[in-house]
Amino acid sequence: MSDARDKLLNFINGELLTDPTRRAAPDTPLFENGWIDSLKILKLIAYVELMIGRNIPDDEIVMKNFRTAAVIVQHFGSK
Amino acid sequence: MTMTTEIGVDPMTELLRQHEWVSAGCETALGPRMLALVDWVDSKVVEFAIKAGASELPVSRLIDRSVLERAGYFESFPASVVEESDGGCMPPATCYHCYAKLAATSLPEPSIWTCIARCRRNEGKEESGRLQAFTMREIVFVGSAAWVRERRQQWMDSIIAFAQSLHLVVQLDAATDSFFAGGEARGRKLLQQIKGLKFELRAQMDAEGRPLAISSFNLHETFFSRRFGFRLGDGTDAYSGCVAFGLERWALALAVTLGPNQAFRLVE
Repeated sequence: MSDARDKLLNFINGELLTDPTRRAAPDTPLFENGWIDSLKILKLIAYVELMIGRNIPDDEIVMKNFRTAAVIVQHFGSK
Repeated sequence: MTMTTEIGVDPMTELLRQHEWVSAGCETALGPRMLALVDWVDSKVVEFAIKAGASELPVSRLIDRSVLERAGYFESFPASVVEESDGGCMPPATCYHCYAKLAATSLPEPSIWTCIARCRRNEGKEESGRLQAFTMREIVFVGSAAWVRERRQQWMDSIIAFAQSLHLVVQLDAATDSFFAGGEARGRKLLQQIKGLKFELRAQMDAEGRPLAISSFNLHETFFSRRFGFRLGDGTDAYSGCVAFGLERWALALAVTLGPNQAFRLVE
């Protein structure tokens, strides 16, 4: 699980948060500071879908499942 | 919930019989008592808005296409605007007028406006209350993120209480705009969903309990302030939010819930 979480954090910090002053930790709220815009959320969802090996229906894309990297991995697990 | 009138007739049938709700093709016309009910609901909302410190903002009947382009409307809803012959558009929502008037300004303090306009949307769905042309009253508030979020919560609380005081059967649901399905618009829709940016107050419209949105409560974050270039006086980003009232839908919800004659007594 922590492997999946670390990979997800690497993706978030390396691919989504291109500003070096922005770094997400496992419990950093991802949607409360404007870091994730309408393009980045699509990239994030695509990455999580690859990570878990299935499509995520829109009704699962809610704050309680996506608040932080730790929450995403806890909710969706990995392949 | 009353879905038959005091004389035991289906309220929608009664409204049609009284020529207070007249459908002609894709257009719907309202009779004088329904129009009075629309005005009555509007007067109540304006009362709430003025008490909340809102200024009334007069707006024109048409909106420039350039305003909708700047607001990103065509990117999100590419098929939804009806062009008029003189080059202006019937607005799809009233609040776009407000952002255009705020363009390139600096606001010395958090502010609230209210405005009303006839709007038009080409909506695919056909159901009672879903009109192509309708009247939308909006309250727009601009300030810091926390201030705007707090205003929205206050409006949600007070309008739910108002609807319930009128015996409407309502529910408040998280919602998203019906953005164009492709590309970045999907991202906007999902962000709207994940951040709880939109809630709709839905009222039961018939005996089967079908709900229809009569108001929406929206946070835009800095979307419109960045598009239109307005800021707060201290130089920080301006956040915006709005509350929208579909006035014909409110009137219809009252007429079908109370029965037309009971509802019309509200304006006597």
